[in-house]
Parts: sequence; C-alpha cells; structure tokens
Amino acid sequence: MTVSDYNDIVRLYKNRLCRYAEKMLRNRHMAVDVAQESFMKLWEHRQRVDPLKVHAWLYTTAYHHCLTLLKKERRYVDEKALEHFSFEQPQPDLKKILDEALDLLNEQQRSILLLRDYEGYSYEEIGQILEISGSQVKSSLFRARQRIKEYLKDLEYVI
Amino acid sequence: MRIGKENIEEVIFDFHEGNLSDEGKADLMDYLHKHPEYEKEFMLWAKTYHTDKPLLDYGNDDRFLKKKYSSPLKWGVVATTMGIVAAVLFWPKEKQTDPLPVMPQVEQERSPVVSSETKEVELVPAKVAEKKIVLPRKEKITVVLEKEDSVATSPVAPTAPVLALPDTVTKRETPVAKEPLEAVKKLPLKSDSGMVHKKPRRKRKLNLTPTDNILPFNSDF
Repeated sequence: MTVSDYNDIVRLYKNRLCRYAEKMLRNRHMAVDVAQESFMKLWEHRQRVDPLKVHAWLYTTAYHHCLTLLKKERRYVDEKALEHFSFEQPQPDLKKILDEALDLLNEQQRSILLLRDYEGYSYEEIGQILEISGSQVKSSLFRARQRIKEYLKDLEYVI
Repeated sequence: MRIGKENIEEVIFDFHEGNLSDEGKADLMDYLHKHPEYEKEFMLWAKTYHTDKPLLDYGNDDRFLKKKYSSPLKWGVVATTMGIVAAVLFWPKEKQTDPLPVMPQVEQERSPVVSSETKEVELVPAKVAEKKIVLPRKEKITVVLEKEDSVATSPVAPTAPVLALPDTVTKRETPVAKEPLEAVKKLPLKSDSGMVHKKPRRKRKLNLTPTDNILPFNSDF
C-alpha cells in the first residue's frame, strides 16, 4: 500500500468511519480521534491488511476502539434516564428519537444496526467486522429493532 | 408460509430486511388484511430503520492524509549522479604537449641497462685473488677484461678477468708477484659479487641429562 493508496482510502472512508464512531460514542471529537487512530493503525499494518478487506478492517478497529473508550469512560446511558429525557423534549422528530434510541442498545447491537442501516453491509460482512457469525448478526439485529420498536410504541405521539 | 401470532414479528422483520420471497410477501399482506391490528406493528417496524443518513464532512483532512515523503537516500543518489555527470562534462582538460612524461629516477631503478651506462663501478681486488694468482716471472701478461654494460648493477656476479699467458711458459716455478697488478686490483670483492660462502655450522652435541626442573607440575603424572 502506497501513500497514494492510503490517501484514497482515507478520502473514501473517513466520513463514514467518523459517522459510525460518532453514533457509537455520541461525541464528535472522540469520533474523529477514533477514526484517526484507526487510519494510523491501518498505515502501521499496511503490509498485513488485505486491500480488498480494508473497509472491514477499519470498522473492526474502530469498533474495538469505541468499546475501549466506552468501557473506560463509563458513558453508558441509563434507559430510564433516557426515557425521562425523551419525554421532556417538545415534539422531537423521528430522527432524533431514533438516535436516542440507539443508546438503549448494547454496543454490539448498536454497531450492527449502524453497519446495517448506514453502511448497508450484509450479515456476513457485519459478522466479519465484529468477528461473529452471520446468524448471530441477524438475531442481534432482530432484537435491536424489536427494542427500538417497543420504544417507539411507547411514544404514541410519534405515530 | 405459515404466519401466526407467534412468528408475525419475525416475518415482518424479514419483510423489511428483504429476506422474504415474493410468495412470502404475498402471504404477509394477506395476513395483515385479515388481522388489521398488526398493521400498527408493521408500521412501527418500518420506523426502526435509519432512512435519513446524511454523510457529513468531518473535515480535518490534514490530520488524516499522509504527505508524500521522499527518502533522503533517494535524494542523495540523485545528487551524486548529477555531480558525477557535471564533473565529467565540465572537468578542465589538460594540454598534452609531451605524450609521456619522463620520470628518470623511476626508470633508473627499474632498468639495469640504463643505470649501467651512468654508474661508475670501482673494482677492488679481493684478497683471495691476490694470494692465489700465480704469475710467471719476466713475462708479459696481457689482461683481457670482458665486461658487459649490464654487469655493473645486475645481481649476477661479474665475470672474472681472463689471464692470457704466452705459449712459452712451461716452467712450474712461478714466483709470486710482489706487487699486485692493477688488473688484480680491479677484481671484485666477494661481497660485491653477492657470492658469499658461508662456513657450515658445526653440529653441537647436546648432553641431555635429566634434571628436576623438567618434571611436570602434575604430581599424578
């Protein structure tokens, strides 16, 4: 991988990786740091990374980095606190509610949902990124959507 | 496809995920028509998808992109090559008046022929020759010296002078000349000719007697 190839990959995946990390961490600055760290690791391991699987390698690195940060800073959002916060918001739109609903999920479910909805990866690709099987991805995704659906059901005014 | 209360959520999930076939989709639509209470569930499942996904520009390209870096070794090779080319092109050419510069000292050392013409060799008569040469009395002796030019400095011993005696000399009594001839004086020394005879060394007998000093230190020996 040359410098030119690396820069092409950065231009292609930088914003996607930042968005993924931001949805995971709920922090824009930390998301940029995570993305930068992922790209730095990609350059360090450029001899070992398969060029055809660069995107999966990047998301895997970013996912593990997000998990480390979340465990380190204890940035879990309490479900009850979130519900209380959501009801306080006057007429929130669906996009904001869905973003808030992501906090109801655990890290793996959230990551699966983001990779599926935002990046359009298949179950197998997500499983490759998160190092789990495709069937596990499907079942986790089902539980994640079911939970969001229940959350939306509680917000009757959305519908 | 059998659709019931127990698997309606899974079927709706598969529908939105795009995992259902056309037949499965038709079966689900029929079931929803028959059970309108699940239409609300169907709509809620549809809302769980993040359809609005704008891709923002996070900027900070300088933090991510790598600048093309050229190694100093590469520049060193380029500079050296340019220097060599410039030296070849612009090196001042010397005027060649003499085709080959003469170096007399070096030539004198390497060629004995040339040095023999310039060097003067002084021949000193050897003592041994003075004693052994026997000359007849009252007879003329012609001394013929044969000497080549290259003999003077060559490592080979010079040829000794040949004494030509007259035919009339038959007597065995040959008195020794009181004064050495000039030709004899010119004879080379042994040391000059490089033919130095060394006396054979006498072998000394060694008396080997056992002494206490040569016993080994190891007492077990």
